[in-house]
Amino acid sequence: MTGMQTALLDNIRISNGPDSLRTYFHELLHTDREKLLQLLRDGNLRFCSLYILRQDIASASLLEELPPLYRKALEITKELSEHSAGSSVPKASGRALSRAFFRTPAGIRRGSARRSSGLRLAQIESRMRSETRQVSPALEWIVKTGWEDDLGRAAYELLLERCSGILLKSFRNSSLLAAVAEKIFDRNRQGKLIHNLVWAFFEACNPDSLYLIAQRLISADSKDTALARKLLCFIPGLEEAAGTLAYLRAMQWISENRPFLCYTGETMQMCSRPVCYAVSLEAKYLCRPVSPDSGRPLYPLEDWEMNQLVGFSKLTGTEQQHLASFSCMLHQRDIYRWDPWIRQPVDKQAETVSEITGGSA
Amino acid sequence: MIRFADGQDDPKKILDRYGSGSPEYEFLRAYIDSSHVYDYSSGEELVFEADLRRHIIDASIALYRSRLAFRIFQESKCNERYWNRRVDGGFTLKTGVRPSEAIDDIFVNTRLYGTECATAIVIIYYKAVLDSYKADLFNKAFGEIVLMNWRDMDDLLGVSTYRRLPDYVPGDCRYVKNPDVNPLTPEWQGENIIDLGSGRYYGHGIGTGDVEYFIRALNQNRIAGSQVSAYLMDSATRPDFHGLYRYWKFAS
Repeated sequence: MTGMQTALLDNIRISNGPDSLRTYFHELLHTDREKLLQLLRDGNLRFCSLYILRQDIASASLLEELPPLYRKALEITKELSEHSAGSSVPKASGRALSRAFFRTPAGIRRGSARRSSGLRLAQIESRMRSETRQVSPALEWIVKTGWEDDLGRAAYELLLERCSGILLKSFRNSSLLAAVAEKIFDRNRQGKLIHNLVWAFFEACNPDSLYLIAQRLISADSKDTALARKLLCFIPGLEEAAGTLAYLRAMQWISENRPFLCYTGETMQMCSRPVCYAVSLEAKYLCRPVSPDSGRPLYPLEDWEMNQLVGFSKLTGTEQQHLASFSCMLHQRDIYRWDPWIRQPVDKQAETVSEITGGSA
Repeated sequence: MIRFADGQDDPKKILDRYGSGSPEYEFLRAYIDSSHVYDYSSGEELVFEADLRRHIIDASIALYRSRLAFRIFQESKCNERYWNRRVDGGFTLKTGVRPSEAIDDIFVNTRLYGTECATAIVIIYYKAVLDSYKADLFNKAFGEIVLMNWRDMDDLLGVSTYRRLPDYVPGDCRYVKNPDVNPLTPEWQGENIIDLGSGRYYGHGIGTGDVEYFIRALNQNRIAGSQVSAYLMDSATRPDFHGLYRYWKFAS
């Protein structure tokens, strides 16, 4: 990790490769077991080294000697690797292909191998949720240190995607967002698959994640800016702007609408330009923050607010946008003027907006 | 209702060309009866769209019958005589290969291919346009093809997603969302389905059936104890029928 000392085992792996790491492990196992244990217990060790050594550690019966965090990480690794989607996809032989046709972990017609794998994965996810306190720190360690290394193995990447998915979707752990954002853009630069990671990233339902993407609008790498623009395509005016202007527009829009943003669930699997977040115009109009997950107000509305929404709902989409933007702006600039204004009848409010802005709030 | 800029054609006469149970009839009936106004340059353009929608449906059924395998992107596969497999699991056309032959090959040597549902939809769109344009025009229009989820598609296809449409019609690609999917099986986060008409849909890796059929399939892959059902989203993805028609008219 940045700013931390590099563990010796990581150093060997990074400098000389995974095979050298395993060779060194076996040398020490036979010559200096205590030193080996000391190195395996290093608090700065990164997941990638442990992953490479996982079978050697098990064969040498060293699992119980590891710190609980590392032991748990290896338990998780074993479980999630045994039930990979890949292991259940039949190879290209005649009979097997008929199984591959249907995507049925718990599914529709065929594929008992996939069905049992899918059910097992559902059980694993469920158990992990029930053991959050033990599982979460291990998953966090796997993801935070694991993504720092590129092992170039599909199984390793799938494992890290799954761990990220559980942390972000099941545990709603937002502390990982920066690390996952970094990985998304890194993989995108390499032309690698990103859509599952992007999906998990947004499933955290945290509008602050948009800031992490907006930062890439001023990246020196054109692949970063292109992806950032695509992921933020729902921000008005972004298409016409470039560089710093695009960045400033995005940051301003996110800051203005942050309390009123709702996650839509749209993904890159559904369309090329998903609208991941939408502004709740009702919430913005009343200046009442909403849950990004459900879109419902964080606190119950009062009767007068409900009445205001009846009038607001009768306006056209454009009128609603203008009125909501004006209300939000007035609320930020002068709450003492906003308070009586928001209680006025909606048609009178619309008139005020028209007078002040010339109809283009 | 349908309105023609040239004022020449009567939409109902075009409707009469199609059998009442056909997807084209269902599409035209919906647009004619709609309170929304659909503008077309001519009857020819409307017929082009009706035919292209039919080709989308035919390509979906063909893909279903040829039993294209479902594979996650990490394990996608293709016939390397025509396609290169990218590191992200997408396919790019090999140099020197005729695009029309490469697309047709997916429907002939289907056992050599395997991919996710969004790519299957992209394959369907290319095949449908090939059937509308025929090989020569198709090869002129689509020199480089990338088959991935919704990424890197040719601008001429102009595929866009529209939300809260007044009418959903056969040939549309709809999406069934599974909000409580198990994060360990993200391939079940949702399903792109092609409207085949008469309330039936095709979704790659699941099969054909009504919307409930797909909802049930996705619901079986939620997190344990979930009470949140999968649902059909109020949106549709469509190619740019107008743009494809203009290219066809002025290039052929």
